[in-house]
Amino acid sequence: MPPHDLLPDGNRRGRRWAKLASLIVLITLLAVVPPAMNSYDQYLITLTLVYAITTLGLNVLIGWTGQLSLAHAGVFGLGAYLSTILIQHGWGFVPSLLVAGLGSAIVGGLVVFPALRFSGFTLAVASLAFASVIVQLFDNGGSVTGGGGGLAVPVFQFSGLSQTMSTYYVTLISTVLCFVVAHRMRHLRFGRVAFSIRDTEIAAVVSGIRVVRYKVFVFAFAAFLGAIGGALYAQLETFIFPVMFSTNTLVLMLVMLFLGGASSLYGPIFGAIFAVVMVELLQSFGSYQDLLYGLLLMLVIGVLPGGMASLPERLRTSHLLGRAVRGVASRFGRGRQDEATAASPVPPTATGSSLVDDPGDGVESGVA
Amino acid sequence: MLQYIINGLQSGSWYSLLAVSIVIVMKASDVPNFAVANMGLVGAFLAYSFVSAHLPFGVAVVLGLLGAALFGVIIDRAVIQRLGDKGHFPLLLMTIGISLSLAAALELIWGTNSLSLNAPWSNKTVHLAGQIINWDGIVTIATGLVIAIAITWFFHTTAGVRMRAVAENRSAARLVGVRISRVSGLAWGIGTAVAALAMILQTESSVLSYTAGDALLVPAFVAATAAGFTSPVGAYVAGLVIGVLENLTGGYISTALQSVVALVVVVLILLLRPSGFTRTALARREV
Amino acid sequence: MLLEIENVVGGYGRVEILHGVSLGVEEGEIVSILGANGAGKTTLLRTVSALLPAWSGSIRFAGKELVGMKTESIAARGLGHLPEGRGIFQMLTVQENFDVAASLRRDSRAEVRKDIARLLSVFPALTSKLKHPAALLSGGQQQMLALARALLGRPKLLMIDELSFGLAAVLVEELFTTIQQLRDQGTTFLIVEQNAGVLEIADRVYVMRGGRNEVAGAASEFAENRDLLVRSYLGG
Repeated sequence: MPPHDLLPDGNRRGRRWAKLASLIVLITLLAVVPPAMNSYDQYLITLTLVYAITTLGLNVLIGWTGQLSLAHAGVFGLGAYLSTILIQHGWGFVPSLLVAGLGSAIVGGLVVFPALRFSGFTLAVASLAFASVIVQLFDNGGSVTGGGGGLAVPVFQFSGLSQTMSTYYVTLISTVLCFVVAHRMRHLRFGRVAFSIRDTEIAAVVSGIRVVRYKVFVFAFAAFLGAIGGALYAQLETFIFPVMFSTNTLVLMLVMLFLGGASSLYGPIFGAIFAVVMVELLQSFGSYQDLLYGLLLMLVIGVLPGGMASLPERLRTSHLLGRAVRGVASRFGRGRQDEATAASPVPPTATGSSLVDDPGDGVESGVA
Repeated sequence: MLQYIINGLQSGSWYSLLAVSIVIVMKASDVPNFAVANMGLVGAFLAYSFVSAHLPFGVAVVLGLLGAALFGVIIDRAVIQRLGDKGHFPLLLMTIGISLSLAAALELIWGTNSLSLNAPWSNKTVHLAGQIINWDGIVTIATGLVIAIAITWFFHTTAGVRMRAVAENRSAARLVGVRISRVSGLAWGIGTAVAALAMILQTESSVLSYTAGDALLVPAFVAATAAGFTSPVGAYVAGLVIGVLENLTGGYISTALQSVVALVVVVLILLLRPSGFTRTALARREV
Repeated sequence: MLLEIENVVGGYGRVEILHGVSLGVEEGEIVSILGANGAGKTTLLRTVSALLPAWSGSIRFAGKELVGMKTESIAARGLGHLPEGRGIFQMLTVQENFDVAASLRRDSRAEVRKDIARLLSVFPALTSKLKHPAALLSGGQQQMLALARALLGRPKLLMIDELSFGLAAVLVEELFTTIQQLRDQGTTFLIVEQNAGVLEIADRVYVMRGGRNEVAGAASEFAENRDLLVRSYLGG
């Protein structure tokens, strides 16, 4: 359960107003300050927002619903290519952005039908294969996709504003809209259902939730966010080619997701800020960058106590300090626990265990 | 036609070997090793360096394989086993992290240029039934077959039976005294060596670069999935089937569609048999 | 004391299930832990075997502290554990199940083979099934295999989680008799049960409820008040 449910009513309302006020201040600052910045910093802020939207999509899939789908970089590319191609064919920017988002959502929603048959590893493999096919389509799309050489993106521009600032404002608006929608969904029945699918899919089925319908919607919504991110990314970079949407991009997304705090709403923003700052700091290191992404993902995964299985707990305190404290606490007594512990059914941690069709017998699932 | 089939069996053998490696690691650590191809590349680059140091090709390959096996054991000890208590999901993501870091490290160490790893039989051909056939194709197909048989035999040795026991029920295996860390180390060692063999064969017949694994990863995983992640024979056969299908598609329909074949295969498999084709009647009985 | 559990606290993840359990088993005894579903019996056994961490407290076996050891090392010290659900490797043949269990043995293969032959004479139903996958065995045969497999490791003490689960009453009687014979040959048993029938073979009994051991005593005392025991602790 999200923490706000645990708070007494008055306290809750107070906190909500404080939150809302600080959000309005933040958004106002984001609207007012960037025009005064140099264009490179404007680019960086826009990139951060693009990453935040995209990672939010991945978060809905992995963090909220526990679906280990690895097609997100491909979907991100789909948004970029679809919107660009539409604009090239004379469409307006906003319609092409929306159509790219909705089109990808339909693809994401359709893909889910075979994906419904399996979960965990098989889903991971199938979705990765799907992403690689998408990228190969970009590569082999002839004049439509420009092949390996890529496409130049016709950039949308508000009159009186620079290209970068135009993209920035469009991105800012999109970010706010996406997060508002996600926020609403999280606090409606949808959010609770998503979390219950993640925690114990079987229990969700038993309690009469139409898991299929929700899964289709989750995949579609995640694809929508990923594609919107991709379309904006294309605007920002002004040139797109297939390599931009490869596995390396997926790894960056995963780093942002887990670093920011999977399953929390604003985690993707922190993850995105971190990723952009990191890339900036490490720019001079050139080819060490990929090495760093990889090592960072390894580090983030290694440091999370209990990994994905501890997500429900981490909801309560999702900042790094609390995590570290709990890491020490969970090592109290015996240093290491058996994998069966992580997958045990008592606390709602079934993300781990629902990833595989449990081949074992009662030993893996016994509580006296 | 024959040419396409032989080429298909050759690339299929690469997929097969990688898929067999995936299955071995899956047995012991219960994780799909997304780093399989790049870990195998470590062995290929090592072999290249040994050849460059004027060692005979055979010796260089053996050293490369041993190096890869050692590397696999180190990864298992340093990374995988440390995570052993954290569930499957983090492990899977960890292998993705390993894969990316490794590609970058290989690039930094051996450079971005394509290298060539030449075997004594590289670029040599033989005439067979009116066709010109490359020796490397024959060597690759034969090696794949031998390894598939050897691994199947291995799963019936004491160490292999323990590995299967761990795959089926980790806790129960530990309760009867199976030392998980040894089983895991063995699996990563053997698995990485098999992956290295795949990458040596593949890079020997084309070029050696840090990106060589990318194209093999998806078909290899599709093959392993088709085998339900459990059967080395199933993984081997599935790899060959995908290789041949790809080459026939490329030859008769369109090269652009070639790699889509893998996806079509995986979707078909998963729609027909979500648990893979080679799950025995036995396994289904349990469900 | 062969096994001495003192004030053990533990559970799954962050959920505390054992709130300080203490009990002891003497060499040569059959001790039973009775309790309803959810009393913490299985959790206790899993904690003793280090499948779950003990958060605090101490578990000593033959004078050695077990807390902090790995599951496989504990098994190697002669503390056997036949887990809930039996832990049979369904995809392996009966013979292969034995082979895996022989991991614990440091003596010769010939010795192991002799032991297997001896165990097969105790459970003759398994003899004809050696080459069959364990999944094809009946429930009773699987329980026999589980027991035989656990004994192959020559445990000093064997912990059994619900020997009677899912088996016909006749078969349970038979297994209980076998266990009595095995005890006479020198194996100590700690048996977790919901079925009060175990009172017939146990020397002493602990009753667990809500993650604590509530009462203890000689099995004969409990046998006299069987109805009361069942009503107040076993929830049926």
